[in-house]
Amino acid sequence: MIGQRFLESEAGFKVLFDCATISILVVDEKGYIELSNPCAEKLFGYFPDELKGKPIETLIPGNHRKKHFDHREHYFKNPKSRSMGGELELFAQKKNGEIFPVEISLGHYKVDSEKLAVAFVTDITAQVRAQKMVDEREAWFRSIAENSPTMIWVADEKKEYTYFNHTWLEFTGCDINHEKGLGWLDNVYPEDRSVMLEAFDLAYEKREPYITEFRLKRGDGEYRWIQQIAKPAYSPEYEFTGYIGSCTDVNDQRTTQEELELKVHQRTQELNDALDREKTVSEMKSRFVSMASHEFRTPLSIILSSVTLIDQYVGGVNKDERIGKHLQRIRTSINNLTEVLNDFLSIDKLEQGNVKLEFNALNISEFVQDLIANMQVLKKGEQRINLDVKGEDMVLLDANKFRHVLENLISNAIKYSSDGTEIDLHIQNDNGALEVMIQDHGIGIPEEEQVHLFNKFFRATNTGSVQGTGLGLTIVKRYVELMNGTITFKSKSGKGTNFTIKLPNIDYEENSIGH
Amino acid sequence: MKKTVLVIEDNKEIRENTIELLELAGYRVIDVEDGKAGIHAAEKELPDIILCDIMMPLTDGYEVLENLKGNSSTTNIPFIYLTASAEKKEIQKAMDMGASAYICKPFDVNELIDTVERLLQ
Repeated sequence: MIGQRFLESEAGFKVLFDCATISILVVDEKGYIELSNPCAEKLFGYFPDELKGKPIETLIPGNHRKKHFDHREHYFKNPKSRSMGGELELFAQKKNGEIFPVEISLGHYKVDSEKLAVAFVTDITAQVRAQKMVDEREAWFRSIAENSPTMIWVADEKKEYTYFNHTWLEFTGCDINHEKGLGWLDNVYPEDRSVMLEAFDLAYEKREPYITEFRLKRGDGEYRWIQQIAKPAYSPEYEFTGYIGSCTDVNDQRTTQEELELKVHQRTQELNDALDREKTVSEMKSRFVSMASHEFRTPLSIILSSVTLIDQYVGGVNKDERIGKHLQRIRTSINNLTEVLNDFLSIDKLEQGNVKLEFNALNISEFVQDLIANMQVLKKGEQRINLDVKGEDMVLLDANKFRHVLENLISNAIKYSSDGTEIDLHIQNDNGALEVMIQDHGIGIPEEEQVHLFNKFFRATNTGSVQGTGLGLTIVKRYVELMNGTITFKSKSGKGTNFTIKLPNIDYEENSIGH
Repeated sequence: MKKTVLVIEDNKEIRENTIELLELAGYRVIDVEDGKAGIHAAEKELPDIILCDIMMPLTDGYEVLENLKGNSSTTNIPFIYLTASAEKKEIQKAMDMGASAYICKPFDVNELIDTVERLLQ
């Protein structure tokens, strides 16, 4: 009860009044200040007791005084303890004229039928300033969010969409109240709606970010492809607060990409068609080569046998030289044509990938001697073919391909060398690995043309009237490569040419089985 | 006594030229223009040697050889294929069936006569 006594004692009251850190003003019914505590005097910038007897409106800024006067009159008619102004912002004025924000609460009491009001005044300058800063910052952030070039939405921790920024609203042409909740789904392309919701549900369960693309109807009614990136949001206290989504119109990129993909698809299709056509043409060519090779041989057989018969019928010692010359020409031409047919057939089979190796074990020395013996008829006059074989006798190789290669190179050496020259053939058999060198002393290959030598249909400019298809060396090279070998050459125009073939050792056990 | 050659060839000109060449070389020649007649002639005449085209309508050269090989009286008659094909696999097939030799068209008369002579020895 000491407290009660303290309040009832004048000294106790005075301590409360003097030491309070809130400003206290006691005003009478006419609006004059009866009492002011030191805190109030200090706040308003008056000396002690200087306020006493001054109208309370002295402490109120000029433009509020008239209104205050009315309020005061009204208050004394029906006094109650309350805070003043309610939601209103209140201002007070210091002695030096400075105006500052305040909070005021009012109390009242009677002394001898005299009504008195007590005002408790708090300077809220600091709070107002702080609030202003907070407001400004919030406005700043809001303006960033509202004016962001991307559309932004926010959903709360219960997946409820609560915010759409200005960019979003501008895009859809709807107001925020329409978009909130699931209203925004109205503008999503119907087929994309469930996809959108499922993506959110899935990510939400795991609190994971997610990316989706969907079509959103723009204010003008056009559906545009939107890319949405959304991530969970957390408060500074790491409390999950929902999701923030950022949406960008990617319609143009997507359209461009789709167009590009379509174009790629079309080009691929065209390419495939072209390849198919090419394949068809290639097959037709192949069939033609095969057919031509076959069908040409019948008339060629008739011509050749008829020429032979004519030769025999007009023959003998009395044969006219001119007839003999022409019969020989026909025979040579038929042989050339037959060679062309054979070359075409060979190259076609190589290109179709229909050529396979068949290995035979053979005595290299005997094999090449036989081969040279059969080629003697092709030689020009005093030409000589010298053979030199070193190393082991036996070798495993595809005899037909090897024969073809050697025949071709030797017949070239004969064709492109003059009468009386020598052709040297060196063969080294190093335990099955062969090195074959064919050296002639013929017209050689012009240096600038050497790079084309193995090209299909290439013929050097100095071959003149010598017959040939330009396929012989192409086939030779392909055969050598088929046998895993290499072919190289050195040549000097007017001096001669040297071809070197290297064939690797073939594993007999592995390759002889089944042949 | 002249040796007898049976020529089975559907192309008239080749057949006639071949006959002429063989006759000039001193052979007696019987000729037929299709495979079936060839089998019949071979069994009836029992020639010393047979020259046979591969590609013929109805009964081809392979069938002819197959028939003759299956008949004890004709199985040992030397059999030469005349082929317009330079395809290795066809030649291989011919040889695998038991042909004595093959000659690719267009053929050189010397090659033909040499082969016939060699097989008749």
